[in-house]
Amino acid sequence: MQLNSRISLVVTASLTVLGGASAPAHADSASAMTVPTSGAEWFSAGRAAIEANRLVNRELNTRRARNVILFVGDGMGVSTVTAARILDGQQRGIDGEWNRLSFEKFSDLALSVTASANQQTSDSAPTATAMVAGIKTNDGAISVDQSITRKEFCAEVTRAKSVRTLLERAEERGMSTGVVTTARITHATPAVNYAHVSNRDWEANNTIDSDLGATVLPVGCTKVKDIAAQLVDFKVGNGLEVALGGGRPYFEPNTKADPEYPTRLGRRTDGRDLTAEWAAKPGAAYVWNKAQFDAVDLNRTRHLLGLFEPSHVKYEADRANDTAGEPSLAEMTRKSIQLLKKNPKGFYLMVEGGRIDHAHHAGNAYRALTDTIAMAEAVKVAREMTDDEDTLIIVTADHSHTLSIAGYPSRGNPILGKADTGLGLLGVSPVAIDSLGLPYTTLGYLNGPGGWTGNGSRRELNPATELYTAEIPFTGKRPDLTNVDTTNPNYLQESAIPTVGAETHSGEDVAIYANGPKSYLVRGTLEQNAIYHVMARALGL
Amino acid sequence: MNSSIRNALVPLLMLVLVACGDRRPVPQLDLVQSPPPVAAEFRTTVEPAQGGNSSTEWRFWRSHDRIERENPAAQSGDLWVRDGKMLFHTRLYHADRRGIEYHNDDLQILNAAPEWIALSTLLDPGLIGVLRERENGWRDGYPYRRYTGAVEDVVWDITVRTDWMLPTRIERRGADRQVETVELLRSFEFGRSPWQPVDSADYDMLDYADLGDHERDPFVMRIQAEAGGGHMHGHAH
Ligand SMILES: [Zn+2]
Repeated sequence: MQLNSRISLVVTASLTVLGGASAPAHADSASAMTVPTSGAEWFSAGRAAIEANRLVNRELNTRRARNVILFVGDGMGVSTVTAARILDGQQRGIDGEWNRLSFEKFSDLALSVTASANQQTSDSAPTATAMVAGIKTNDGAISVDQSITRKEFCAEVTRAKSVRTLLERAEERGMSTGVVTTARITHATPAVNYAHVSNRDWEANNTIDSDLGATVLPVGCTKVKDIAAQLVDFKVGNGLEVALGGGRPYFEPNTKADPEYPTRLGRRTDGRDLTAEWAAKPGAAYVWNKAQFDAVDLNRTRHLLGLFEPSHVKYEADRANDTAGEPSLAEMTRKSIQLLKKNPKGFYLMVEGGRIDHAHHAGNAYRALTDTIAMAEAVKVAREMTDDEDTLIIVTADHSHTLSIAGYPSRGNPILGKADTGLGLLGVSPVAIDSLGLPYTTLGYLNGPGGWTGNGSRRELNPATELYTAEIPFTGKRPDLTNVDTTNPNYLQESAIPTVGAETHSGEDVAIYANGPKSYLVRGTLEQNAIYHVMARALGL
Repeated sequence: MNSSIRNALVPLLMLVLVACGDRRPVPQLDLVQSPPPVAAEFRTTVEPAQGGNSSTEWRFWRSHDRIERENPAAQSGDLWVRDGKMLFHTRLYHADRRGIEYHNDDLQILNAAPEWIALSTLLDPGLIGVLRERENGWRDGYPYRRYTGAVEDVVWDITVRTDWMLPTRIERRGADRQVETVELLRSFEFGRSPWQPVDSADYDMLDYADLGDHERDPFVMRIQAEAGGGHMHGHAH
């Protein structure tokens, strides 16, 4: 009976394919079918997947897109997607290796080369600029070309070196536009859509002023505007329809207390209250908590600004503990599309899973993976709310991280657990042992703050005594994880090289997943800036 | 009572009180209550088994929702702010006029989200709970209790001024025979100390979460190297 049900599921998957589904067979079969358990079943599943691809290629979606949605998983390298896919499956009680995240069911795929104009391994500013403006540029650059210096204070020079973004072109055409992120809305990846500035750190005016110091601007130059001010002062078309994320103090004067955390003040030293300025525009609304967000009247609201935290929005794993409540990335995506869809001319929306990157930098795989799963949920919502026939959805990462999946753990071994040997009896598999006789986790980082602190050479600051401990000599041993619960959400995976402040980005290619009009242009190994050109071509811009 | 008699009696009464001080009840150390606002100065001395002592003096301010620590010699400090159920920690670098902010979730990831009571009293309630009270009484006009004992190869000797919920001396002897001592040098009612915390209101603050994306910031590169392998965020205990 078991075999029969499997066969019938394979047949169902094949029938779906014959019915003209645009996604590969595994995509649809994976959600319905359990993992194959025999050579014959694997063979059938493999053949069904190829059959689906054959039909996709026969029916290229060459239409023009009305809408484009670009999802960016900040730091979501291929190993992150694989590990998140497994964790998601294991959390839902299905085979993690067979599981697929929503965007892994898209019809087209390519690799993206993420090196920037001056970096082998890039930061988020030039990589995001590549995706939304179609050029490669230097570290820290927000939609300005590589001829600019990192700290260009002159607004006129900055304007001359600025590059037009897809969002600006969409606004010029009368489309609606939006930017949604779990990072600060002024952070590099969202900022490249609406701002032009040489230094990603100039999120509010105070950092420009402190960098400028006593320097006098050259004759004919006015001071460049900070990123938050550029968002609120954005003049192309009728301005952004949606901007949701974190970063309230970057919009508020340093005399104004934060509404959620009254001990904290704004950062602006120019006296501007940008949230009040936004809210004063016709048809505009500003919200800063979940209740206000839920109460937004979409019939009356044409421009929505939501800033839910003083800095980045909470990790998905911590969101439930927030003081004033925050919407999830999926909820923000849903509300945005509801608002943007009102425009018959179509829309452009960027959605960033911004904190995948931060969790990796902290050496904490759990939060990186759960934020990846949260972004996959947002992609699912976006696809459900739109039509494959007129909406191009691209999901990609700006760069990767040093996360690796190592050892020879058994299929089904907990992805956050210790690698096992697969050699045990009665379903109990002993953990794998390294050359020092110690167990190790499946997930690890090449560098970062985690794990090596157990026994390596180190000094640790004790703030209660204001002293660093004496150097603890290197014993040649890794920490013994025998009694450590590595699936704890706060566990920091071990790193080989100590970079205590933060784990770093990594330079290998990331994946581009695409679905909808012109998605067939996403193939092969593409330079990252080609993503812009796919979106622009799809929109006919 | 006429005023001249009262003037003569007051010093006499005080003398009696001081003489009888030992018999006054010593307040319990209740590490659940909110401690009173204070300012204090401490000296920490580390004596490794092989010799070569080092010591540093640091200042401490505590009010209801805000705790500040400052090491004037190192030009560094820590600021802890409690806002509703959220805790914010800022590591301050005064010479650079910069700070690194840690939010609740960062502190959890770093396994460094201490109890407010431990931060504000410099005492670990769990530790005090397992040590034995060896003596109590009055000294220099304030009540104290002394706790001693060994926990996991570490020998503790802690004396606490109970009315202010402030340690006057913490001695920790490790298995490696290193001795760390924290001594209270001076303490004041809050606002009465001769020194005040450095004003960090206009420092350039960087989120801990953003450190990884400041790979070319000379300040970030320097403090990462200075940490010498330790967490840049120290653990509370
Ligand atoms: Zn990063």
